[in-house]
Amino acid sequence: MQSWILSLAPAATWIIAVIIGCEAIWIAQTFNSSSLLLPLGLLFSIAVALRVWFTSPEASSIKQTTQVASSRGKLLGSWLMMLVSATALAGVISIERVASNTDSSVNYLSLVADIIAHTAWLCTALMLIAWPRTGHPMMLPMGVVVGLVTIAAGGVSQTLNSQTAAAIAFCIVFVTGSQTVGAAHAWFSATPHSEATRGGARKRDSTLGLKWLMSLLVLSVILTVTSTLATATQEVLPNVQSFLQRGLKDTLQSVAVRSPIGSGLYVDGSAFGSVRANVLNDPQGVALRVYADSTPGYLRGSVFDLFTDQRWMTIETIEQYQQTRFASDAYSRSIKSSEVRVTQTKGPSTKKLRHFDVSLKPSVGEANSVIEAPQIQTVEVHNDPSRGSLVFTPLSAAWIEASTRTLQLSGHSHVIAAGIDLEQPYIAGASQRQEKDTISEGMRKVLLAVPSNIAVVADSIIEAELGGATSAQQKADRIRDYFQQNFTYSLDRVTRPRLSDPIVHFFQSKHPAHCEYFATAAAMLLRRANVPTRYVTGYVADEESDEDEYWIARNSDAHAWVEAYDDISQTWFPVESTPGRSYQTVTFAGQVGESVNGSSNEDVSMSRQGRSLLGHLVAWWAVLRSNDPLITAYRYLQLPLLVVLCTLIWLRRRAIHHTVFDPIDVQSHKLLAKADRRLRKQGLVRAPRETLHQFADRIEASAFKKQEKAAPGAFASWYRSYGNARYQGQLPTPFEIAS
Amino acid sequence: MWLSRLRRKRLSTFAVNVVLFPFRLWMHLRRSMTTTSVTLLLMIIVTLNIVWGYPWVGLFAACVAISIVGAITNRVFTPSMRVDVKLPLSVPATQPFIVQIHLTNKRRLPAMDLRVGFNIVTNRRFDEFESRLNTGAPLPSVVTQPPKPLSLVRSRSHESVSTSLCFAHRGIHTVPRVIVDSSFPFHLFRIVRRFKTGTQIAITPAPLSLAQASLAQTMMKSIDELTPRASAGDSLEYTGSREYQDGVQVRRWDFGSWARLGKPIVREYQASALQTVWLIVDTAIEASVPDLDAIEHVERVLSCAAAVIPEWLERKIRLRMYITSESPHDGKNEHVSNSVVDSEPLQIRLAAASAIDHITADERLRQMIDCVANKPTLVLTSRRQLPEAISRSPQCKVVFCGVTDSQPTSPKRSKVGRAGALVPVPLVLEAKT
Repeated sequence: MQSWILSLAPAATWIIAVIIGCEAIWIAQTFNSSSLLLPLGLLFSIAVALRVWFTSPEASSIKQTTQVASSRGKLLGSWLMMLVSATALAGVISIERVASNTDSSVNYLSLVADIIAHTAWLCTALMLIAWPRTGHPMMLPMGVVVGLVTIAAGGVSQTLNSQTAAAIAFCIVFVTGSQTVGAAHAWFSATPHSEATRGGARKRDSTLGLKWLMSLLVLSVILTVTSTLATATQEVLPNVQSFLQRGLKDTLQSVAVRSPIGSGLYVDGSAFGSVRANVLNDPQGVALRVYADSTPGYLRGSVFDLFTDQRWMTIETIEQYQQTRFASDAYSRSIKSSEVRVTQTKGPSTKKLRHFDVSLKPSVGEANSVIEAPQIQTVEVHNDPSRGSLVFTPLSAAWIEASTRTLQLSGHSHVIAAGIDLEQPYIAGASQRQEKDTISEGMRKVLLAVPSNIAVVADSIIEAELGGATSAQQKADRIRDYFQQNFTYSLDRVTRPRLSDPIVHFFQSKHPAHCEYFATAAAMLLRRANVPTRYVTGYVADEESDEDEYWIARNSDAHAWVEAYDDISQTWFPVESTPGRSYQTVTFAGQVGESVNGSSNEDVSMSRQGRSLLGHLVAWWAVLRSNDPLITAYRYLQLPLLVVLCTLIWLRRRAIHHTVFDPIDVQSHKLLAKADRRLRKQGLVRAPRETLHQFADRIEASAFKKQEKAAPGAFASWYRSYGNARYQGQLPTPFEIAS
Repeated sequence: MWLSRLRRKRLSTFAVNVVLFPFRLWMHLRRSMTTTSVTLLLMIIVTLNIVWGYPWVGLFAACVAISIVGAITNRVFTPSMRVDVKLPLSVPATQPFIVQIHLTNKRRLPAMDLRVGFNIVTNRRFDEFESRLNTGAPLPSVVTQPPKPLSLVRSRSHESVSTSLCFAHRGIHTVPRVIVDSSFPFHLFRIVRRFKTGTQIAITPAPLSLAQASLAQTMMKSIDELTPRASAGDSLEYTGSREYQDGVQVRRWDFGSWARLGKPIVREYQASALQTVWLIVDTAIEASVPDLDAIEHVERVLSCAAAVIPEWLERKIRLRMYITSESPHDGKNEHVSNSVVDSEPLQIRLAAASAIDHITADERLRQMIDCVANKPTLVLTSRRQLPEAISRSPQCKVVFCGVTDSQPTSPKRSKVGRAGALVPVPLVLEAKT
């Protein structure tokens, strides 16, 4: 038994060394630091080899190290020295990594990740040098830190296959490390022995094969569960993400907008000034890529209902409105898709998209009438997933095709609140005809709410500017003209008197301002003119790419505008009050609307018709190759692997059973167990210390409670004959034959 | 009626179990966590940041999968053992001894990645124990080796593990429970099972230390004085006949009986009158001795007795012992060391001895002196004042093993430590005839 343990310690050294080597390769690939890690790795290997061969096992195990440092002071001193060494190492690594990343476009978060990964790796390597035969349990957390930081820094892409492959690799490495360090540590802490690790001839205990088979079986189950969990997480995550983010969005954004972290996200607009911050942060950075036949124009990302405390808010986040019934129509709803549409994406995509009808429900009268199918223009949007989970669609979107099963819609027509896997593109079908929408009285009150201090100023402007305008559209035009003629656009920071309201100050001073001021001010004026309005932020995609393939929305295209509600037509229409801007959206003029269902089905049928069996195989192979080979192999092999392992364990158990026990014994025990079972039903249980003859006497003395073919006497005589046969080493006669 | 009551009881038990399930689960997990599982738990917490868009979906899934599968597997492979221990009947205090633990796996599943040891909270090392013994620091009551690793115990088969135990104090001790923990799979979690051994061991008085060697020699001289007196002029007496056994001298064959009974018979002779010595161990304490010092006095007397017994047995002298904590009429004092090499029964009686008050002790000593009559007797005591009957007896030799006034006892804090340890104190002998 112990020979296996004796052979473990040196094996442990090399297993841990290999794991650390793999870590080094991964770090070097991620952070491009081969020049640093290669010599360090070599030095570390030499140091470990020297430690293994020139120090006694007793001195190099944790247990013995602690015993050598007999007094607490010495022990504390040694740990303090290690801490100081680690700190010094971190310092040296920091300097080296900072020196290596002197580029002006350095990403500081990535640099921090770089330093953490290298320091953690070096600490792990030092631990192996210190305890080469057993390793140290702290190596596991260190390895985990390396994994976390490396993946966060982009070592693994966010696709499901890559994530699953990384998870499987992590599982294998982690459990191997845990088993190695745990077993070696348990052995050395119990009985340090010079013979244990000297690399002498060691016999391997053949009986331990069962243990390794069992371990492999558990590992196989772990891997299966891991891949299942990864898939499930990827499915559920978008919904969870947006559920959480929705609740915290406004609060978080007001904090994040001023920080370097927040500026890298998509424009949201809750906090006043966030759109400006987004425009000024890396103005040329590409925010969205949009494939459309005509200029996509204004793409809505977030819609807000209420302006209070110099912030725009959605009604769902305001507690006082959550308790009122009228707010329910502004709340989000989830819709499920049962059909897979295969509208061909123009950009790269690896997953099938599902179709979701996001159109508002028609009123009763209209539902019965025959409505002519509206023209549809598709807008295919490619997001950058690292910048947040916002979805950008045109105002008139009637449906969405996206990679998800469930979609969360906000209460503001067609705004997607959650659920889309933004690794994949999504397609919005913009309808030519604006859909009708009804708003409740309660919601109307919210959409007409204006802070009292702004209302006073706004009323005077309305009186002067809206003379004679009756419809919502006319009022909106007047107000747009008011801003276009009297104000100028500027991204400069506005200095205003302390404690003054920015909008009131804006109305009074008419200072140059950016879109948030104009949109907010226009919304306030329209609300005072009894026109329900909402505040919208998003991007304006009107720049064509160099190859004329798609449209680009840059960070500088972040924008805020207003949507107003027309009571007569019961529709929402955009109001662009920022000077120098005019509202744009997909155009339908002179174009035949694309029937999405028809075209897509046609495309599919055409493509299918032109594909032979060989073509199918080639396509399947192409898909297979484009995926991660490890995860693909595992996906197809996990079940056979599980079956093979179970069979091996069963065969081994059976073989051992046959070699250890005499077949006559096994057969006899089976016969006895069978008879015992029958008697147990009658309430007769053979006691552990009861002999067979004693039990037979007891059977004779008792009566059966339930129906039984044989009489108690037959059982009793069988037990006696069984006892006699076993005493003589013979195989007893089965009960049925005997009776 | 009773059925509904039973159902109600079962329902209430079920409800309580359901309510307590999360708490029990949490406590179980908490107890079974290792460095690895703590790392996994922390990692799960960190990777939950995937809700903010961090790319750790794979790692999150891996950590959750390892934790769940690991915890369930560890639970499924909980070891269930029948435990037997093999250990000596008696061992001197502060002396380590080997214990063999036999484990039989009762389950259908194998038990893997095990560690086997004794369930002792203060799991101190032996080297530390020895250093404490030398320096006089308080001793832990029991010391054992760290748990021994055991890779695999197959279903229904058995394995043995050897480990060491050491008790610091004299007495009849129950062997600690055997602890078996399994960290299968991959040392992720550790499930611990404790098994009662139901075995007791007699821990005999600690031997006299090296520092007391010269004093011990003085005591031995006193024994020498007593022993020749006992054997002078005595002869062998016929005690009976028995069946022949290999190795019996031919001159002891009883041919007449052989012829009569048809099987070889030998004669047995004993020199009981000449070679029997009484040892009286007085475990009473003088009324003036404080309670804390009382234990020390008694232990010293018992240690002296433990040293005397083998010495006499080596000299082929039959020994009868009486301890004052035992009743004179319970028959124990009739126990005679028939086999002159076997001191164990006497040592076990010393292990079970306890301190008594001086009045009872005096009464019992008087009775014993009457019983002993003119046999050579050695009385070991820590008291200055003994009944007059002892002083008057010419065959009785009293050895004082107590602490003299000139040698005060050790400071209180070091005398009885945290675990009630004793500190070796120099032995002072004073022989009175």
